[in-house]
Amino acid sequence: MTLLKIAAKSAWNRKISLSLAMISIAISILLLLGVDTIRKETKNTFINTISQTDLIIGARSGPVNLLLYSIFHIGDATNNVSYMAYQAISTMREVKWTVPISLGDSHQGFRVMGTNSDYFHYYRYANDRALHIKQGSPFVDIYDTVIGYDVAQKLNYQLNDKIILTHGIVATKHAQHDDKPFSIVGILKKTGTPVDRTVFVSLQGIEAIHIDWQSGTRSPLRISAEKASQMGLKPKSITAFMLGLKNKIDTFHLQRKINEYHDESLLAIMPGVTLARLWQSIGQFEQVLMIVSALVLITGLIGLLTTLLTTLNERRREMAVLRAVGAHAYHVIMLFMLESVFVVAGSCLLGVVLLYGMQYVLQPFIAETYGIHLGISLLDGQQILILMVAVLLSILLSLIPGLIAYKRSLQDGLMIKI
Amino acid sequence: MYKKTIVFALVTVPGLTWAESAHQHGVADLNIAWSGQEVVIELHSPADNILGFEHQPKTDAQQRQLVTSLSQLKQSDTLFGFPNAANCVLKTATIDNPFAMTNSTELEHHDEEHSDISASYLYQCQQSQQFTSLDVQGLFKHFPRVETLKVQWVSEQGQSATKLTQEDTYIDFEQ
Repeated sequence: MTLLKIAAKSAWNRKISLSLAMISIAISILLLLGVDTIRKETKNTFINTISQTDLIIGARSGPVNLLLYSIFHIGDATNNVSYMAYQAISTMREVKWTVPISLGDSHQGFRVMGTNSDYFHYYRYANDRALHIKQGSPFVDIYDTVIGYDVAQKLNYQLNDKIILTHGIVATKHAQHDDKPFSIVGILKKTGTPVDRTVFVSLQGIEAIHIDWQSGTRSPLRISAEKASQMGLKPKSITAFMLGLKNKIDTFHLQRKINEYHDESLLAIMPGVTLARLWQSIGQFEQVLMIVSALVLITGLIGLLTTLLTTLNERRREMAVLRAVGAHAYHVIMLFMLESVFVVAGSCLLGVVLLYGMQYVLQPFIAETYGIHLGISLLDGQQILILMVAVLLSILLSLIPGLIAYKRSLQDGLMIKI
Repeated sequence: MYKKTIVFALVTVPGLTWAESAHQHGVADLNIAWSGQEVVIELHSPADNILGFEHQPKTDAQQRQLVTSLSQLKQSDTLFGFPNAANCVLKTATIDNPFAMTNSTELEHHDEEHSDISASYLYQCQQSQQFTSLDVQGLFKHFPRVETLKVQWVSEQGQSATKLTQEDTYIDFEQ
């Protein structure tokens, strides 16, 4: 106990250099834990966004591309799927359910998705969790819309509010579907997935707002909202569709069958497989980031070692006096060890506090900009291991100044030097 | 030990094309799907990985090689290591041999393009909930020309994929 007291008092004498060392190590620990957290949470967000969907079918392009635009609303489709092909595949023997996805419009920066009410029934995220409507009900009428949680929050929408959809993804004044407003009939509960940032309307709704549009611009021939709704709105094409099977055994077989579909170039992907493949290719990049962060931590620890070594000279007398009053060698070594552990443990604590602080501050921004929901959770085993390794390294490093101090404490300190 | 009540059905399905990956020597695909007690494993590979050539066997040695390799493919118990607890028994093994049409006019046709070999295995596992891993060391051992195996699997628990090499032959489905 006395030793602890001595170590603390001695360290207090050198508080500025030690606290600087502590801050530099804390920042490197923040970096290491931060990279690790972002890595894991990004993966979780992606993996948890879609579940229980066996195949996603779109026009032929890359599997990752199809997955990103259809489910994560990142990027755009290269081509469409004809509604005929969609219906033909929906009625195949192996198929249990299909849900169409029609993208291309937006509302105040949020994507609009045309689908049918089956979407709310079959869409699953995070291991079989279904969507729940917080207020209202799924759409029934052509000009009904159901909005995601974030859309309602951000734009402060209530049930029965009227909204105007915009043609295309970028908001422009000239491409508003302002003659056909939609009324909000449902608001979804929060899911932590891109669903929260989506405006859902029926496929007929999408058809209705584009009925008097031709190749991206409004034709001079205007068709009113009421008139459009009576025009037998049959979609000609959709962007993609999700598919569930009666028996998972048929997955590969049906995937092949769709990929060889003779009337149209289609691509069927298994979302889980595509995500796993995507993650394997990103994995190497993650490793590089982790290695860089680990190197930063080592730099911080070497900084601490430097601080300890430079103070050796000042502490010559301190050590000599301690030895003279009967301190053992291990007491001297312990003194350095305690100091070093004290600094690094403080760094760990500070680093973790900084991590949670930054997560708390950046969370809304990251969710909005990148669609990645950073869940604030306790440190996991791997992260605790990182902290323990840091403390262990500090103990090992402290042996160096400890041994040096011990070796020269007697002959060095008590000799009178001019 | 498993009861070896193996029923072989050697059928040819010409024109069976696959979507998984392009023809690339050294690389093969393995698809695994299971539901209830049924486990289906599909192997798809450029013929070169299995036989060492991709044309109609021209010499006696190549003919022998074809016969040996195809019968090796049929002995799936030497290729796949199921967890013992899962109690899996092979029901059918189907090999798609691209060179089955001997003496046909398509002989030259096959000479010009790449050929693929596909095999499909149906297993029945009494304790399918114990089917949590698969070791394909045997596959790499018997067909050393396979360098990379791209594996994808699907079950009620979800879908995923991994890549195996001769050093890393174990698939953990729960990871």
